[in-house]
Amino acid sequence: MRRTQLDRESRFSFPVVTVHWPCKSYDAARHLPELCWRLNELSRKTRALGKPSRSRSPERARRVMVRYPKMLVVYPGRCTGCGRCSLHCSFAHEKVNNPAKARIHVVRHEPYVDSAVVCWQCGLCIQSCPIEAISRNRRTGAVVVDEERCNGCGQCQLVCPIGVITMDPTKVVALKCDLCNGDPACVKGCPYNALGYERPENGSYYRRLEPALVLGRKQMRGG
Amino acid sequence: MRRTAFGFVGRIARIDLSNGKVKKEHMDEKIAKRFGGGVGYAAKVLWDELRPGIDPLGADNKLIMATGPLTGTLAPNSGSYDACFKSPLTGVWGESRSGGRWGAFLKHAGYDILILEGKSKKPVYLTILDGAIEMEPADAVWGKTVSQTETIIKGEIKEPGCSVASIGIAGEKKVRFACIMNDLDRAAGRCGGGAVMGSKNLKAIAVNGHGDIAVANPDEFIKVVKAAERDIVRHPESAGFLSGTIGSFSTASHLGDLPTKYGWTGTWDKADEFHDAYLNTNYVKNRACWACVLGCGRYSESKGKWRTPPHGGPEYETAGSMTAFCLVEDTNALIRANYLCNMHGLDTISTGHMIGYAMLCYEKGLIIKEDTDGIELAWGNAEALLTMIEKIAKREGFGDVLAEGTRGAARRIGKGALDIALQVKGLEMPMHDPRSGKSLAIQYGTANRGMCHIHPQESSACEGWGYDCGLRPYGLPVVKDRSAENRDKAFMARLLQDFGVGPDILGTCKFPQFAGHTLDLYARLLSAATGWEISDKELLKLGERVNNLHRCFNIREGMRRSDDMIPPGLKQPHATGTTKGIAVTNYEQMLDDYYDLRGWDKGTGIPRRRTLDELGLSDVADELAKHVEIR
Repeated sequence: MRRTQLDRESRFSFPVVTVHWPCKSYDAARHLPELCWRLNELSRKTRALGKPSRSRSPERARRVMVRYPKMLVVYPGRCTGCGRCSLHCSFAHEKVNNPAKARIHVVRHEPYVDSAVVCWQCGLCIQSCPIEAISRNRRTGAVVVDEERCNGCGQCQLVCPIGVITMDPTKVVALKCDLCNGDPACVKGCPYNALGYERPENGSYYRRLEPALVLGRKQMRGG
Repeated sequence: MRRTAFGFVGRIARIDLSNGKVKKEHMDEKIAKRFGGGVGYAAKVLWDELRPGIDPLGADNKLIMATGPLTGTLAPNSGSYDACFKSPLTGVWGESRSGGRWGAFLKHAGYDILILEGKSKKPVYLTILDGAIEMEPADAVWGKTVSQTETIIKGEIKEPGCSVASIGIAGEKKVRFACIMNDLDRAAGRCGGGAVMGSKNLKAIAVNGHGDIAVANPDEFIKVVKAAERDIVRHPESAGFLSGTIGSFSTASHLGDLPTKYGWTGTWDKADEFHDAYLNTNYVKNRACWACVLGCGRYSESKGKWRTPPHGGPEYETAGSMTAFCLVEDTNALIRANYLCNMHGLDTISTGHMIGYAMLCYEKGLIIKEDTDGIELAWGNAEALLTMIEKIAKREGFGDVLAEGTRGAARRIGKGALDIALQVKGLEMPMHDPRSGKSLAIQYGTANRGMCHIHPQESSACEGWGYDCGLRPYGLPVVKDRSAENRDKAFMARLLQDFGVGPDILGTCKFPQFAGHTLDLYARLLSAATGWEISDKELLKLGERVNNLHRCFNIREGMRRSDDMIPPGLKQPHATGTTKGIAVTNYEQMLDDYYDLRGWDKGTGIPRRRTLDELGLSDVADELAKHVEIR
């Protein structure tokens, strides 16, 4: 049974959470617990995504969208491969200078490939975790590893499509970008403004720019 | 040093290449506090362990790869290491800094300093992976270029992400200005570190590690780092660094700071269009070293007859020595020359300088076409430039003569060729002309590794270039007249040397100094990283102590006042350009002032005992007194 549904088709619409009300043969005693759960879920979702308003005006919608989770993106072509983001990351999380403990990774490959690679927060790792140590933070949208529970089995590292989950060399727990609880240290630390913490509409623009550039370059070289 | 050292990792690896034995030592915290890390600590080790007068290319010489307490941390531009040794080019103190990421990786692998001793019987390379040091036979990579070496080693040890420092063919052939290359295009260039490495039959050192570099006071440290980042990024000069060191090509030419036609003039009329042509045809992108805030590294390629794959460089010095110095006007030739030097592991400054020197000798008739294997070494002959680079690297024919450096080559050429050479202590002149700012003449004469503009610091930068490096509170004079020769210039050179050796001690790059990284920030970073409580004045004192130790090393090797003299070529006026008619005329007086400010004996140039005692170098003075008479 579909319990809730997020309607985010239109750019200016706020999220609509639909609850399929059980109207036929309603039995309060049987349905009340489920109803309570649904209402609870509904209130949680609306809290996370901004309250739906009575007015559907674009201004109102935009104001609501400010509270949406943001996206951490890399602006293609600006990165020089200095690695300060990874040092800032490890320092913000572990108070040491160690790129091996960073959640953001800098790829430097010959010839002239320099780019930071950062987690997309896609959430594939959530299902992969056998002990449910990974969950999504509703406020920031970040997929977070619970270091207390993580046993370092490495399933999330296997499933990660872009290879940004690594293992901490000393603590043996999975390292994964948690967006610094909504205030990423790497973005503030980048001297070349190559990283951004963007609202979804801009963020997805930069995110699709990157594969497009790769494709475009391939076309230019004739396949 | 205690186990949980801060800033430093606290460990030294002493590797005897003769038998492959590795001795792991703890760092001596007393020495680290007295001399810092980097060139300071290495100088103390070499002072204690090298007998004077040894052969730089023999088994007795030691090659020290030293990082500092800030290397690998969040401190701005902290990817450096310094190679320290007795130089085969000059026979005195040799140091050479390189960026890239090798230095930071060495610290993550668990070592601050590598001391390489002895001489291997067969070619070998070292791998340092998370503290484990192995010596592997280098049969597969011996004779290969730098990029081939890196690719092969990364495949052999199955560490695609490691960082490799290696030598090219020039280092294997012991060309006296061969350099150590790391991360493909970063070079510890000057003084012939590559030749020392080659003489030890050591082809490469691959490092990778995942260790922590902890700091003593994380909250304070990140606060200072953010302040430094903010100051540097907002500083007006940092935008200039984004156009690379080669971006200052035209400015240097307008200031008369670009030696053209072997120092005949300081202004090259083609400089502006040359830089435009470079940007239009060759420039690919910016590439930064590890933890760099400025991002001055270039990435270039050339097409056509002299095509190269995209690779790092060229820097200003390379561009100056390969083009204006030899009057070559083709940017593609420059990129090709830079590429060849990088692949063969040659110092671009000395290589370009030597070819310019050969061209001057050719013009003056000291050498003829038969001597040069039929190569027409006329000014501006790009084809000859590229051929000679290959010949120098492989020591073929006339290249074997030039591979000896200016002193060795002048001895082979004879006929008074040494008098026209621009060299001090045997190190060739880099691409800055002291006739555009007279304090540079003092720096050239007294720099401990020879005629060098940047070690310890480029003092002309504070004259024509107009930097102040945040040193006004410490007495840096405002220069009204660049061509004046007075005590101010000597004071300036001294202050900048003490300040400029700082990054080498701390293990960072020197360029942030020009863009808002003040002495105070360095001191606060060092205090927060190591927990030492060191003030800016004390850091300046530390710099002076290290400079004096380097000086004592040179004195023990036999250097005196006569070795601090600048070449006669600089005492002749520039023929044309913005500095037309200006020459260094009153050098002796400036040198006297400099010695006076330093507390060195004016007659001999030896530091006085009182000076050394005041700097806390009494033990060094005692040792020095065994070899020379000090007052």
